[in-house]
Amino acid sequence: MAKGSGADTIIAKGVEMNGELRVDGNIFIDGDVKGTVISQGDLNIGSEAKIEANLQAKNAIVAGVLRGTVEIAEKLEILETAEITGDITAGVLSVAGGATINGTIRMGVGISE
Amino acid sequence: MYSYLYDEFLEDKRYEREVGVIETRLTDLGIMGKVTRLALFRDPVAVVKNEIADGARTVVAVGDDGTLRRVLEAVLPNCRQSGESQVVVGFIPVVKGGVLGPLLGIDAGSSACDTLSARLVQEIDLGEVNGRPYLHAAAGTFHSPKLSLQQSEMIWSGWADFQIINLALSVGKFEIDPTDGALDFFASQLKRRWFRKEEYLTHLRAGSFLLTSDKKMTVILDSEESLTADQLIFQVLPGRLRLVTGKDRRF
Repeated sequence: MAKGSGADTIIAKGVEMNGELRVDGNIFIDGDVKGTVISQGDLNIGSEAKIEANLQAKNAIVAGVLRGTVEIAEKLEILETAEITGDITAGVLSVAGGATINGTIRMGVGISE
Repeated sequence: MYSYLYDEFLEDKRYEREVGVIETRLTDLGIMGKVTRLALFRDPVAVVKNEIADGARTVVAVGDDGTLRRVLEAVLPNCRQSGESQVVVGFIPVVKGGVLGPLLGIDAGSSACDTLSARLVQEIDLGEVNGRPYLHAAAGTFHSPKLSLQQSEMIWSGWADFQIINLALSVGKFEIDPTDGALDFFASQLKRRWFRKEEYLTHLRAGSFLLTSDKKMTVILDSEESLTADQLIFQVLPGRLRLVTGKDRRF
């Protein structure tokens, strides 16, 4: 993957993606995504993103609007602008004040187990 | 055995001296070979096929980026027929200012002969769009384009600038590797946000994909040749090209 960059795959604002996307490295999403996103690395959902998808990644930061299941093997960081509707599984969870979560949360049972 | 394919433009008097210097250096290095001049009505594919049949194992493009492109297009069908790329491609840029020479670590003029003589052969990928190969990049501006990958698709609204890169110095923070078996896909849109314009850049890497649009699409290959079509089918040809490169190559 691209060396020296935070995200190897970027889906910018204004892009609509449908379907399943699998990436080996890190991914940053600021567009509209419907389907499934699976990353072997870190997933970063920007504040402009609108996601209706099931997400799997090693670590994740969510700042946008997300509807779907989230399975994070290690750390999930939910920022204050995030609005999540769906079930969350994460090894470690951090939630900023102001974030909205509607769904069940399971912790300490990451997807690698 | 070396086979040198000279571009037609080198027949111009103003290149006489430079070509002479190059030929002298090739002779000094003991790697002079058969010289064939490419011409408008001479099919490069047939020329290369004949050279390979006559025992050439290194086909050298002498001219500019366009010459290398023509030689690549000619060499590839011969590689496909033999099932493996036994033929090595060399490049002697006669004039400065090209894109491909610096990327490959090859200086213009007689010093390219030394690079050729050192024979540092790299297996590198080629990009291909609608069956046309390219080494560096394919670029175009498309209206409401749709990118179809194996299991997903992406849609842009309005105009977007696209670059599908195989070999380049770098694009922003992304380094491009022409030996990784994938093409780097960049789509950029400039949008007004308050009083300034912001660039929205999408990047991904893939081995093959399809681009369609609601208008005909024209793509420029290696800053040289254009291709217009209703749809553009991209794929990487992994390790397809065996190329003599310089030690200062950018990958």
